[in-house]
Amino acid sequence: MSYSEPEVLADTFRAEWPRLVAAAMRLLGDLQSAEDVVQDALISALDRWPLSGVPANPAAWLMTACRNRALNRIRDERRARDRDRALLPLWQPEPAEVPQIADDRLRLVFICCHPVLPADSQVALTLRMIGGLSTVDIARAWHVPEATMAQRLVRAKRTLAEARVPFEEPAGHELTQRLPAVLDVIYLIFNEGYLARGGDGLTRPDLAAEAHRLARLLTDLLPAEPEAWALRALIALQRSRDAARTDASGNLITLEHQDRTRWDQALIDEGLGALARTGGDAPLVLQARLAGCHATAPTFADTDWAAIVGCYDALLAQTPTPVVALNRAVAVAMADGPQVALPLLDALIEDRALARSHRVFAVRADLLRRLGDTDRAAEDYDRALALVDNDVERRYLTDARTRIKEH
Amino acid sequence: MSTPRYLLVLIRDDRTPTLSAAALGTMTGRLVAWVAALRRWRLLHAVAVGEDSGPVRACVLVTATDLAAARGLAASCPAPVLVLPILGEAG
Repeated sequence: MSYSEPEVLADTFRAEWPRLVAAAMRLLGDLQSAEDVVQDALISALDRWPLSGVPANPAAWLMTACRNRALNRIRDERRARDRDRALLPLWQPEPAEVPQIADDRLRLVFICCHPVLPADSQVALTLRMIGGLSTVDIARAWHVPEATMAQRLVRAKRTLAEARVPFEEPAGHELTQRLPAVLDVIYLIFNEGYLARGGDGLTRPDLAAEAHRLARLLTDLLPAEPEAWALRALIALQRSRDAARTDASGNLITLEHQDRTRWDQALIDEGLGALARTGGDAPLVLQARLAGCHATAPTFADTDWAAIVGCYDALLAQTPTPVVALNRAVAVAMADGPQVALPLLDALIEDRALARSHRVFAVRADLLRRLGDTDRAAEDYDRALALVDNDVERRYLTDARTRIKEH
Repeated sequence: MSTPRYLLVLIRDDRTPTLSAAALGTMTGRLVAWVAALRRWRLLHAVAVGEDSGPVRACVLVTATDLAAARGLAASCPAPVLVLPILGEAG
């Protein structure tokens, strides 16, 4: 028995969860029943494996346990005679390697991100059904009461049942139409973890890791989709900097001052490998290329800022949002100097969408500081501090403001 | 005089059905490790698995020098456990 058996079994249960839910869903036809059956099977394993020994093929054991419970449930509902005959031939009890099971997981992903559901429910359902997270975990990550999250999940499952959403993988153009929603949901989960909006963000790294796991799963399921690879690349490359983003006290370290030897080379390799499988100039692909430029730069000064500005130009042409324009202005400041970027920032501050964002004032404060205009820089740091709601960023801005006063 | 035996009754935890897949896997792994340790130390005599939905998850018959030692074994279990001394054995 290896010392790390708990972790190995945790990974097994977690990895098998979406396959089991998807397979049970195919048999039972609704998400709530499928989830109940899978939870029962895992609890049965918890009871039996310690005493009878872990089976040689845990995935097959769990799949069989789910099948038996699902069939019992059907019999209990007194529909045994008709449905058993109709459904038994559809059931494939063999484990993961069977390609049909992979299709089941893909169907489940598309059901969780179905357009009939609001975005917050898509996110919650994806974390529950694909990630196997408990309702308590999801509620904690989203800072809402457990009862609220439980209600959201129940409502989402009911909506899908009432809308009679079929358990099938969207075909052809439908897949192309609905894939962006799936990518959006996973990216939203990642951003929630990576940017840590509000609070001290203690549970957030788990959320970023979960989004990464989902992105990897998506490239397994849809290996021909460049945007799925772009999402995986983007997440891997951004996560590669995790250890260098804060110091021992949890204070934020900007890209410029990060110790690049602390970047995770394995994640950079994964990200660059995924980036090589992308193509075209979809927004996610462009964002992944931007992350790739940073990951491959030996130092901050040696970054290919002209290439980064070029990526932002292309991104801005497709998604002309104030946030993209703000990031482009930062890149322009690096490529051509703060004096060139300053008018771009002045224009952005007039934008209503950014008026409540601390980032635009923090960026302009930094440009003014570099130009030696410390009075105006201090004013902008004060505005940024009045708007920021993340503890780590607040500490960073406070420190920057203090240093200005000292000089 | 034979070494005393004790029945360790593993009680089902009400919170178990709400755990995440990974948490259930972790708990299974810990229980596997606990039972394997009892077996390796030659303290384990018999096991019984309870009903799926009953209050008892399983029973484990162990050897221990006294009640305090049996309670020590129970305390090392990752699940809630009741300790019952075996008073006598037929035959």
